[in-house]
Amino acid sequence: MSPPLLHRLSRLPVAALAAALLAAAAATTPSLAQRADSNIGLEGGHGGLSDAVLATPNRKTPVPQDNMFATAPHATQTAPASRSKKKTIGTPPRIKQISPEVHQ
Amino acid sequence: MSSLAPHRFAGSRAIAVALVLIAALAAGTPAIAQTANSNAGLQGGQDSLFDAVLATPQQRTPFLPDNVFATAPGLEQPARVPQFTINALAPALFNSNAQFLKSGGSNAFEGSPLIRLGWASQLFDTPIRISGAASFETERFVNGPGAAIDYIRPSARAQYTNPQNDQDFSPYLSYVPRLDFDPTFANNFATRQDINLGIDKVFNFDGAFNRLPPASSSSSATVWSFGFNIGAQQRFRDPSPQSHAFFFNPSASYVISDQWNASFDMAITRRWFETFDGVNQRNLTWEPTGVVEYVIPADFLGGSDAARWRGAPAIDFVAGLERNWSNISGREYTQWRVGLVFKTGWSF
Repeated sequence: MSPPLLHRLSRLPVAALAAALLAAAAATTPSLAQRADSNIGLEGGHGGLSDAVLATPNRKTPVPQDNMFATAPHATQTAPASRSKKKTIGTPPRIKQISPEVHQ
Repeated sequence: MSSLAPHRFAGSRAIAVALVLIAALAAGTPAIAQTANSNAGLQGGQDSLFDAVLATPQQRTPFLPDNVFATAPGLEQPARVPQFTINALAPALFNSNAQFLKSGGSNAFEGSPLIRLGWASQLFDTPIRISGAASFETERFVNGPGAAIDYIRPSARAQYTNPQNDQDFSPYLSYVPRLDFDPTFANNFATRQDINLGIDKVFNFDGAFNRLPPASSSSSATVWSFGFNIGAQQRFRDPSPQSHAFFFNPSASYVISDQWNASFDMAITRRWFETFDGVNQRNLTWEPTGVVEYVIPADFLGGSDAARWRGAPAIDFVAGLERNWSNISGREYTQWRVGLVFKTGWSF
């Protein structure tokens, strides 16, 4: 089997799985949610579940830095700077600052 | 004279000088400018003068890194710009109690896709990171009558981050509203607004369980990570009841290989509701969740560029419990969710 064909076939399960998940969600019969005095309104909402999935470390899939779990990727890091393609020349640090008070 | 007084006088002098300069400018006799065939239209304009002033190096007053003079401070350095992310999650789960009932809840198949948009940026040159997000979520069930619901969940957050140590204590303040809708985003029947004040803390280790030294980003060297998020919340809700809560969310993560990762989280929330219809509800909610993730190799997707365009997809195997204890018997529930989540993400 040629490599391009293998790539095409290997992509199929991913697309098929995504399509199946979305179709299953769309095909289910919508029904009215329970109102505010039910537990659905007060709790629930999958906030914890989706944050848990996004908090799982992954060096390939980008995720937001805003997460309810501290170990989520980059959750406690500074926001990244832009990826400029210009050659950058850093400002040199001031090695010694002369303070007028010291020499008076 | 207090130690603050000289600073006040110095500030007053600066304001006075500024006022004098502006008043002198305003008091000058206005004259009609020369028209386009004069030098006023062809030359002049003081662009260079202003750029020269802004190009004078100093480390206090912020200014745009856009200047006609190459020696202007920071001109060759990359600008801090917001980073945007988009994530799409497509879960396919078994849910043991779709309606969050004490007993008799439906065993249901659940497909609840969500899209989350996010951005983050440093606040000027300060160590404060500001971030925002907006999630659009739907919950749909096969054999789960009365459980379908939609959410819009925006958030805004300001968080201290130590530029030299990403394992430092990281306090934050966040505002997280949630709008609850009948399907499909048809009728907004409840809105809640959470104000959270908390602290993140992580401890990162390499594969041999050696603690990693302080660094601006220790992600690439981290194999094991342990941490917690602890804080307090005030929730405003329409309709009532309002509530406040204390939360403690310990978590751990493990980078097994390039393709496999795992995490375990355990959100714990103690919530006190305001008195509503003569009832003082008190809840304790425990949500342990385990995730094992398989990152689909780029070779399967036609190379790294193709994988990136497809959102670097991953498949997560998820098992989670949500157990709620309450002083009101009817509010107690247990819910298991087990299944797969298809995860994708893009950043730009």
